[in-house]
Amino acid sequence: MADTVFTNGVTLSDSGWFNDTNRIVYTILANAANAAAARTALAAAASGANNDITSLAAVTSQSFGDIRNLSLVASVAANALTIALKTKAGTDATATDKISIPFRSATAANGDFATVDVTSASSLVISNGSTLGSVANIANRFWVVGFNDAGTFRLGLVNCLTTVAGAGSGRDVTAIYPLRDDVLASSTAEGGAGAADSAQVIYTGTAVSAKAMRVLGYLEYNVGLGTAGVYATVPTKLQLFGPGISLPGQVVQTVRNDTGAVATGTTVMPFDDTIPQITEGNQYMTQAITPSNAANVLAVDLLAQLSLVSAQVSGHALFQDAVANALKAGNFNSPVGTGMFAFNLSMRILSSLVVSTTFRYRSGANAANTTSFNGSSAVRIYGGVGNSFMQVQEIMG
Amino acid sequence: MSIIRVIYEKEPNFPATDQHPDAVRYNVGEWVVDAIGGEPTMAEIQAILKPPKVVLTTREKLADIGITAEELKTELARP
Repeated sequence: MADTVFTNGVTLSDSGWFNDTNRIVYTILANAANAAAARTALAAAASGANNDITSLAAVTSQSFGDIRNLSLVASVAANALTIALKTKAGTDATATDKISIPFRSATAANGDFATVDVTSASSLVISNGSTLGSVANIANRFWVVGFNDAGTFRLGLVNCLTTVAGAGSGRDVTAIYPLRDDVLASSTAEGGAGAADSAQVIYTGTAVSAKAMRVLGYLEYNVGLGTAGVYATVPTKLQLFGPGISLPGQVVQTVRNDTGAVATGTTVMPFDDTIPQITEGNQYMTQAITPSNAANVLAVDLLAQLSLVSAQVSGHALFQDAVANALKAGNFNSPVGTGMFAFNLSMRILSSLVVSTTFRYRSGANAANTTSFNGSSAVRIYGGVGNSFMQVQEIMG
Repeated sequence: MSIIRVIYEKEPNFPATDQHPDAVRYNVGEWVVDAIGGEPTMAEIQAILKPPKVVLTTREKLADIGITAEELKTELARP
């Protein structure tokens, strides 16, 4: 869109006249801050009966989803990470070049919104040593949020994933923070001493309590940091939030394998206090997935229907690719002379990669026995529609 | 003699080597079989699919549930 130069000397960038069939209208795309100047210029330029000057206010009014003139910049210094709000041009906001952010009402019963204009430099420092609950050498994502603290803008950062060591070597995910714009949220002061070490906690420069919050974007370290909390490098990705971008906990993709076909095996899976090995038992189901992002979560869920020909402990284990140790395992004390039993395994793990990975389900009895998957005594049950399945979902982290 | 790893009704979506590095996939009659040491015979497959019924003696049945014949006699002798 071109600039418009009025006869009174006022120039409005990114603006123009349009014919919408019934009338000529004037609109400004990116320079809404000039609305007042536009009205003045239009009033001066207007002639004839079809110029609708009053509609200009509606054209330039801000809606709840309309965050204006915002970009994010990350920098590191002395192993501290700084996230800064910048204008679209990459400069600090000013009174004449402001960043405008709508927030939901601070009153739950009210359906309107309030806009906070950022008119000066705004940033948040994550001090050297503050991990935000991240783990070294494992991909992580920190979400950037803003608070409306009674009209004062506060910038915040949060790691929405809680991970534990587990079988996934620090990748087992135990909680995902419900980040969203429609609730009032609180924050904790970062403190500046390298002690902001918790996931699921929103850190700001000044703590806020039960304030309207807005998700602004996220940053990522796609292979993690060499030492958690030591920000020697800038993030590998910065992303503004907007339509088409998932929030933490939302499903990004689903792949699934359903099978009712019978399979029979005899390989033993020992019932003892050792991690099941990929050479033990027999493999009955696999499911491959190519994660779109290393900082996302893979949710693996399976259900297997099986039987043994004689009463014994039946072992079940989940493996990934060619890794020898099982990620998860369990057992069922199988009776004899009855139908199939159903066994399920479930796991949430940080994907940590963006190439195809395959999850594998194996099962075997504790000693010599015959396992029938989707069958009893090696005979298929339920005509091929038995509900054994393996599903992997990629979830935004 | 072939060592059978798994007998399938339908060919699965993973290779035989997932069962064992030396396993090879064979089609034997109506079955798909992953085995080591050569193609299995139908008799070897049937031996797994329909194993001979094991008939336990009374003492073996008691042993399976952890009771000796003597313990059972004592229990039955009680009023």
